[in-house]
Amino acid sequence: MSSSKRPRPAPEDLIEDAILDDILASSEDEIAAELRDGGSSPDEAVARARRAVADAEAECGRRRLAAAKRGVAAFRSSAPVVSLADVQRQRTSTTVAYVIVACSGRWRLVLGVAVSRATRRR
Amino acid sequence: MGERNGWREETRPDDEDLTDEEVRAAIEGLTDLDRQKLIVIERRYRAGTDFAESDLLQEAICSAFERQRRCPRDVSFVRTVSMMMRSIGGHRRNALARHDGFDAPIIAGKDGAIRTPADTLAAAGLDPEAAVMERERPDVVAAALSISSDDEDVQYVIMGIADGLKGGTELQAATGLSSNRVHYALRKIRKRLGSDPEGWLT
Repeated sequence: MSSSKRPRPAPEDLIEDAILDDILASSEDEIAAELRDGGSSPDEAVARARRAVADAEAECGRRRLAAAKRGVAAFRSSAPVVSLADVQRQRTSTTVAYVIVACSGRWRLVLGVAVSRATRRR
Repeated sequence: MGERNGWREETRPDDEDLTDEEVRAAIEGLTDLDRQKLIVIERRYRAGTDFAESDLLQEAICSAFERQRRCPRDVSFVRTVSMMMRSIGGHRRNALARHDGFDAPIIAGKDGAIRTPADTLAAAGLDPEAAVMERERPDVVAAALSISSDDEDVQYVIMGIADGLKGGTELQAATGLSSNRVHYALRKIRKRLGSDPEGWLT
């Protein structure tokens, strides 16, 4: 069985496809008649479609602005900036702490005192 | 996601889709007849949703602008926007159906009769799963055939399409109908089903 084979669409989808094809292939007169059946006119339909496009552009602009505002707000509320030196110092301290913990007895005491003195000097 | 009329929802390489400028040019290049067709199609796919007039078309154009959905180069822009409206309308219809009360009327069953999910539950012998399945996917082909019982041409065309025949030529060959009769049959199907799209456009 081929894995690239697409599943067959449901019958209702096929019928809807055919209906859409039929509308798209309709002539100007047929579309005009259909619009009139629905209580509209071809001119009104054109104006409505133009308005929908203009509204879509405005709406997209509003959404972009809202997204930008959310981005700025998220940036402002994010954690304070930490310098590279702080990060390196933190990493060194953590490594030393692991070494101290790994040692035992007298060595742990000696290392602990040495680190404490070095930290105070810094 | 499946393919419908060459329009796919899945991710495609960028060079197969229109750029922002091309989308804008395609919108500006719509003819008056294209705009009229989009309004006719919008009316169809807005049925059964809570979209106000023109809102569905606006939403589809927004989707094109914002690249929420793809605009394939090899599909006409009018068809792409139509498929976007179909997809957005379908999602909204499904979302609303999940919130419908149990007494909301739907087309269900082989006779195409309008029933409520409560009726369906009783008919299904108190099997909630069967009731939910019928509510989610009513037998629309049977419903379409039943409302076209007085018209053999329409029934042949419905059966041909449901069998996977595509395009006028295949349908003409299989049904033995002329191009005009196939076209008229499709228009009848659209009008009859379009007047009661609840439960059909799923």
